[in-house]
Amino acid sequence: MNERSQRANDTAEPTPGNTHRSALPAVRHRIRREDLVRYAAASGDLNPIHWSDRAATDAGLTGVVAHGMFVMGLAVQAVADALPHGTVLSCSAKFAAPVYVADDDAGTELTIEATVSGDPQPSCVPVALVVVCGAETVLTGAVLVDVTQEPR
Amino acid sequence: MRQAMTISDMFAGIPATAQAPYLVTEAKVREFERSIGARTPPLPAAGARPAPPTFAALIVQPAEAKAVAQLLDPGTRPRLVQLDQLLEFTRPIRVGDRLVTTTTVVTDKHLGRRRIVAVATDIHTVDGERVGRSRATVLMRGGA
Repeated sequence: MNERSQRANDTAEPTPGNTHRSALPAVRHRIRREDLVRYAAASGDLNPIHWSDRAATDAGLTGVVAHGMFVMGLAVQAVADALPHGTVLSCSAKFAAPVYVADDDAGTELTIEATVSGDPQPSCVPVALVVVCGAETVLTGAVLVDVTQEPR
Repeated sequence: MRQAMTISDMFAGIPATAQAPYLVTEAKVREFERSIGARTPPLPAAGARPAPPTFAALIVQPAEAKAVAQLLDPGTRPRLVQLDQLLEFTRPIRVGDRLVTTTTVVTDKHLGRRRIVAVATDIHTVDGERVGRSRATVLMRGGA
């Protein structure tokens, strides 16, 4: 992930008023073990299932998995980056499936799909989130962004 | 005794002890931004730097883990899986905030060998300003 996340489609900076039911540019992140270690340190969540194969296997998993809040953090940040003058009022996630991250250079690719959903109010933009890993949906969620003012 | 119940809310409504105040520092916010690949936002025209929304996890997860641990019988080690997470904000968390939390077990249901616990955490400043709220659901399997 260090090489900066790739943007699948870097056009169309969304602005309030033209985002009605439109997809924000998909964001792809390739995450590796070092990214999980970095998130563990930054978040204080040192659960070894996120960095130790032995601990993950003992916990009934087939390997090390990403922190759910890391995946949620990437997904919510994709929305925040797309609406840089907005303020997030709420965000939610359902963790649909574990994200396995092998101990190799290839890592695991996540695709974050964010779509303006429902009827945007003059002040708020509702965004639906789906995070896909391979063919599997690993997270679904929602973000509500206040676009009336600069971040407070 | 508890295993014999199919559904119980015996711990619902019991508030957990608030944690010590958490001071939000510029260095920690920057470290967290880097960890999730956030673009470092420009400084706001007024006020302190806001933290990314999910920075709230640093404050609420220790409180929620403590609340869940208080439900467990001593010596048991169930496997915990977080099912969902909701974060709501009255305003963004900002550098310089000193935050305290109060966590409440909202539901505690036994479904056979599985147990589903929902916890809610209010986030305030030490001065009593409401900042936000978290709600999370955890599935426990075995030993619960």
